[in-house]
Amino acid sequence: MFNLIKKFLPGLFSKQKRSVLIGGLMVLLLFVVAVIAPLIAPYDPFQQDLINSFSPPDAAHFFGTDQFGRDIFSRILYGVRISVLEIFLAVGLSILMGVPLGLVAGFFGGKVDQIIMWFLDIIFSFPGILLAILIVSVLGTSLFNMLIAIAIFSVPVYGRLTRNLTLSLKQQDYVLAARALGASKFRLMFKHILINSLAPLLVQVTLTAGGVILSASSLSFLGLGVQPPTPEWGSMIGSGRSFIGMASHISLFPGLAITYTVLAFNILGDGLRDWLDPKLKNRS
Amino acid sequence: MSKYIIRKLLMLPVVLLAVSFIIFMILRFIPGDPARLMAGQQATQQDVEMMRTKLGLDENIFIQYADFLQNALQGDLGNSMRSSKPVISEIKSRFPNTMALALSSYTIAVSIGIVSGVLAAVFQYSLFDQAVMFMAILGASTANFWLALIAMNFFSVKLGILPLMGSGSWQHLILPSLSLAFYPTALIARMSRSSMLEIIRQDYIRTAKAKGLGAVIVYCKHALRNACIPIITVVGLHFGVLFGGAVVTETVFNWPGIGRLLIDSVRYRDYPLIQGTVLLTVVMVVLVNFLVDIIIVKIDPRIRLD
Repeated sequence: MFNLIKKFLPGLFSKQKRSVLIGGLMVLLLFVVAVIAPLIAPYDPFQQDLINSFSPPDAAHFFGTDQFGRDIFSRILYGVRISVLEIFLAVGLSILMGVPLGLVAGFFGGKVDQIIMWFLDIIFSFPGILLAILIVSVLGTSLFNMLIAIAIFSVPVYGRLTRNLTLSLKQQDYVLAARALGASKFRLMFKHILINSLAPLLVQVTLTAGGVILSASSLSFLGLGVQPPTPEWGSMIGSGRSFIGMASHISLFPGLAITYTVLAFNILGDGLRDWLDPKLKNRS
Repeated sequence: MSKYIIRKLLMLPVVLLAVSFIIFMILRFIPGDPARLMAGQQATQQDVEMMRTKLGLDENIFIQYADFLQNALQGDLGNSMRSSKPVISEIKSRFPNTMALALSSYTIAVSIGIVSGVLAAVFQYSLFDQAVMFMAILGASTANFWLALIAMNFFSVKLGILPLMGSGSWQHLILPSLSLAFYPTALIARMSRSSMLEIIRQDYIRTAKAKGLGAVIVYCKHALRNACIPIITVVGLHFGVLFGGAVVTETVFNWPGIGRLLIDSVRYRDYPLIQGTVLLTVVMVVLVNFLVDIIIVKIDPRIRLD
């Protein structure tokens, strides 16, 4: 990872790295807001003020207030924390399940590879959101259950990628040399192959992070994920749905927050992929 | 060619079997006693036991699955817990609505996506190219349910030119189709652009231009045919994504399709209906993916040699 940063620094403002820089700054802003949300939020996100309900955006409430008079700007700032948590947990869980499966499939090959890939292909044949709805309907609606469901349908993405990387890396001279020196299979897989797969995996993480936010907000909007009054953006849009004609700002701003977050990760992911893959870099 | 198709055809029932087994097993993890749940809270212990025997829940899990499969193959997916109607008839009545929504969105996404992506590649770095790329990245970053609400507010509430929600006329289909098509249009446009860019730099395209062929022939006949394999793959694979998106879009617009039926059944914990809706949707997606595989082989004979 340190090598990746060192490689990135020369020519930081070049055209090639523009997307990485812009996307990186947008993502950095999100993380900063997630940390300092309590310091910059002007109101308590749960504090109801029924006299001021449905207030349009003004100087007192930048994004207006919702049906309970809660400040939407403060709720969106706190919502960044939920979104960052969703990304960390869902992506983390799918990496924990998918990467070892891909490593084992690619390293051992043969029947093991066939069985694992077949299993991943079966999961992949489900439309993601349907599988998530099915799992949530059994486990019950909560943030954690929703994230388990999202993580499960992302497992094939990491499994396939890691398997393909392992297939090519295990033929490299340094892996063959380590094998000749008597390195154990575990060491070969996790020390030599996995460490060298981190850059493409990082690109995949940034590309799937946006998808996690879209899926999580869709499930919460449908009432199958995070439940009110937690300031999750999808759930906020869902609760403003009934008032779309008279107070569209209740749904408008959380939606813009979702678009900003997904856009940030998509720009960063595309930029990293183009920068790290010379074939794509020369193309556009 | 036929060998490849036969191999794929042989795999198809295996995939369908595995998918149905996963759906069947997931719903067996429902917390609590399914027999008590199906019989209702007011049921006596005797009613619960009768329900257990009726559902075959006292049998081995594999026997239960075999029974479920046998019934499903005969078109019997059980009865809805809420309406007591057969699950298959509930789905049948909603199916045409979901198909109408999915096909209209698909038509919009494929036509706008391919045309704008190809033109963006032909006029690379132009203002049009930049506009298409901007819309494509925005489309891939926007939540379709939010876009649907904003469109509803603007076209139905503010301008009053389109119906707010519900079904019954072709006008009811416009907003749901457009909002559902936004995301796949963006992805198809991006894929079309990058595939075309790769092809139009090949020597044979340069030769075709040097021969004096018109731009339409060069780009549509020579370039697009070779660029269409990744495009068809994306178009085919996104059929499933579209069905997933339809669940949310149907809920926003109160569109009486399978997606809304699924969400309602989850709310009422109507497990036979959840099982039936998910099973039929996944089977349909698997069949479409199979067709896409066959079409790709028809277009590109190199694939079957691999």
